[in-house]
Amino acid sequence: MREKNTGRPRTILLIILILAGVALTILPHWLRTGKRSLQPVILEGPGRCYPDAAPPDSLDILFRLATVTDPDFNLSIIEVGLLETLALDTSARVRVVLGLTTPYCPYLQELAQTVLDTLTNTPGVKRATVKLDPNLARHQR
Amino acid sequence: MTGKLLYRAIALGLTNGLSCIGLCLPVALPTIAGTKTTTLTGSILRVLIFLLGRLIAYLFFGFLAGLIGVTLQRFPFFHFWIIPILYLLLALLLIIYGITGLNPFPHFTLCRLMQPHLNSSRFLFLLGFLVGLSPCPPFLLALVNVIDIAGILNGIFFFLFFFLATSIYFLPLIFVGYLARFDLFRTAANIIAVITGVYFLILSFARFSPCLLKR
Repeated sequence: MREKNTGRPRTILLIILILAGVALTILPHWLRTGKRSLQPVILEGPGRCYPDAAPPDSLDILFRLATVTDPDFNLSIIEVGLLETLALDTSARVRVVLGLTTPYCPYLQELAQTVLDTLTNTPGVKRATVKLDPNLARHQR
Repeated sequence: MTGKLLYRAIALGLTNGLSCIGLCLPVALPTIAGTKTTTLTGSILRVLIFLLGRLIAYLFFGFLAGLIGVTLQRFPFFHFWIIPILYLLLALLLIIYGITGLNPFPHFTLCRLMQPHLNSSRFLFLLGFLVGLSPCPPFLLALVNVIDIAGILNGIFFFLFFFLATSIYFLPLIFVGYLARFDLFRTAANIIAVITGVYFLILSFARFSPCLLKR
């Protein structure tokens, strides 16, 4: 009889402990290394440097992007081969898609922001969009 | 190693330590809480042994990074083969540890034979080492710093101080280890070990699959 009375609270406590343990262990790990970390970073912003100037051509943009260095290799992102696509439309909107050297790059956000700043500071650019996709890691291609 | 580098290693460890423990906890928590420790000293010792395994792995990476001057993360095989294999190993060890701890088959000779090994310091050290080998983002950041400074000795010292700073966040585990004196906590820890083992197994297959699909 005594066994029956202590059995139920014990089971409930055990379940609570297991749930708390799983929340403490798997959840943070999954958030750091799971699918979430492989989500692409997309940043967008208006041109900040003479947006009314003559629109730049693709080569201008390419030269600008060449000034951004990959923090890991300390080489230009163009040299490293991160540039996937560069699209420039007639209304001076730039869209750049970049891959990474490794899918779990610790500089994801930082690199995306630097590229966006570089693009929005290019004279003539009205709007820039940067997409950094960890799924396009260089060595996977 | 200059004072500036020392400061960089400690600052990096302190700022990223919480993220570090988040990645080590799935292995550290169930294994430290799953084995009965009656004294506080015993609990401290278990945490230290786990950390020692992690330290050896870190120093090994520091040595390699300082020696060859490149990060292992640049090599595709590391991401697509070594890490999934590490996860697979951790998964199997955790599942075996959890099941043996729960002791569902008390008369099963293999369980009886394995239990002393799984509760030993060697096993904790091995788990710490394996966790240390599967790098997390803060660890990769430290690795990049080591490449910057170059030199084997510098690399080892950088990782030593990075490790010491991150280890502060592991101190609550001593308390968790102390709670392992209660039967209920040990049962919960063993079940969590099995669950995290299954989680690592899924993670391992998820990482393997892009490689396997290519073939």
